Amino acid sequence: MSKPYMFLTCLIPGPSNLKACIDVFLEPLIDDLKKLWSGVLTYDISKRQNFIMRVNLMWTINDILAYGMLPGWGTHGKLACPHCMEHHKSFTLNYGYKTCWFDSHQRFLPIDHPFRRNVKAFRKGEVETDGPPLRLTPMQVWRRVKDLPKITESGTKRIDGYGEWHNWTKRSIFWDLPYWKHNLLRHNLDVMHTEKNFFDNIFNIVMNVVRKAKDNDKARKDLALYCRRRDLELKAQGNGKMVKPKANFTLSTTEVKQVCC
Amino acid sequence: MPDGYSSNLARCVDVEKGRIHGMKSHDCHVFMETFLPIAFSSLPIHVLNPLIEINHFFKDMYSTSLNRESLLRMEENIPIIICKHERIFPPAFFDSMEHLPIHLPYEALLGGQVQYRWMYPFERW
Repeated sequence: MSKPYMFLTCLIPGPSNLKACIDVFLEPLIDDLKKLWSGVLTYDISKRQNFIMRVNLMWTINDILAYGMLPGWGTHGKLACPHCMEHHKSFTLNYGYKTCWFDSHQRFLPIDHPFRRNVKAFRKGEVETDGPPLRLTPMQVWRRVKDLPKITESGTKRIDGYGEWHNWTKRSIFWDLPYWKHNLLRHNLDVMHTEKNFFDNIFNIVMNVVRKAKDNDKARKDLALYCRRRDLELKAQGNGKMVKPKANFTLSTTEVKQVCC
Repeated sequence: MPDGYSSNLARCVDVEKGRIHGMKSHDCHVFMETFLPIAFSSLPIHVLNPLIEINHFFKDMYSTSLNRESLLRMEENIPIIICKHERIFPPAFFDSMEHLPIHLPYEALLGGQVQYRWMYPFERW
């Protein structure tokens, strides 16, 4: 993808984040795309003749925050995953107050996998019997969103049940494109950001970076609540303070220095 | 390493304090792809292996030629890898970003190579 093939179609003024209202600014673009789908007369310089050019929007490429703006499925809270939708298994941590996807991946395993019956290593005392969440076809998604309100200049209206059983904020303007409800992959999860954040998490926790590692006292309290890992739980000292035992997944200070060399 | 493969990672390293900071997205990518198994080799083997497996998962994901069989195999493997992480790390570690790799092979099955579907070309401007 080099410079001659890139094309700046619209520039949206700041300074505040538009959130769902981005649709208002995308309207000229969608109008153009609709016109291009039905075909426009174009001159082919190599053959020196006119032809009908048709253009199709394949997909959008966006980071996870823009993912909340474009398709209209909010990427915050428990319902953040746009694939799992309401069949999520995330929960809020008792001490950390963060949404957590712990223990929600055994359902993707084959039904006879030993991890599903393991009651010690994952969430204590729980056996996973559910299958993976259903994958919705584009038509099924369309049936869900077709009655939702569209965004106009007057702003957004909160839809009933937002954050409880759905995360829809609007009917996205992309659904106005005639072929959009037959498009299997409409918006991409960005692999670059996923990998970077994944790596940051691993790196911070292994290198024990101060204030960034997700292995603080609250995390250890949550660990005692959800898991059976005695060796990692906070231990009371004689003077009333709690001490955090060193975990086997973090490097010691000397080992961290060795990594840097 | 070939010329132009990575930026100068040494600028991020503070040897005296034992810190690495200020890594850009592509530095993270290079670290994840090549250095992770070497850098973290002093971890116990049952912690290191799942980290290397996720490193291989992303490496396969970046391959310029993907075929259906390997993607289906990746789709089977990724829940096992993440479950192995769940056995090691505390619950607070698993934010939404740890969950999303589950869906990446399916998107690759539909959309093809990641090089046409990621944000590197746009983040440069």
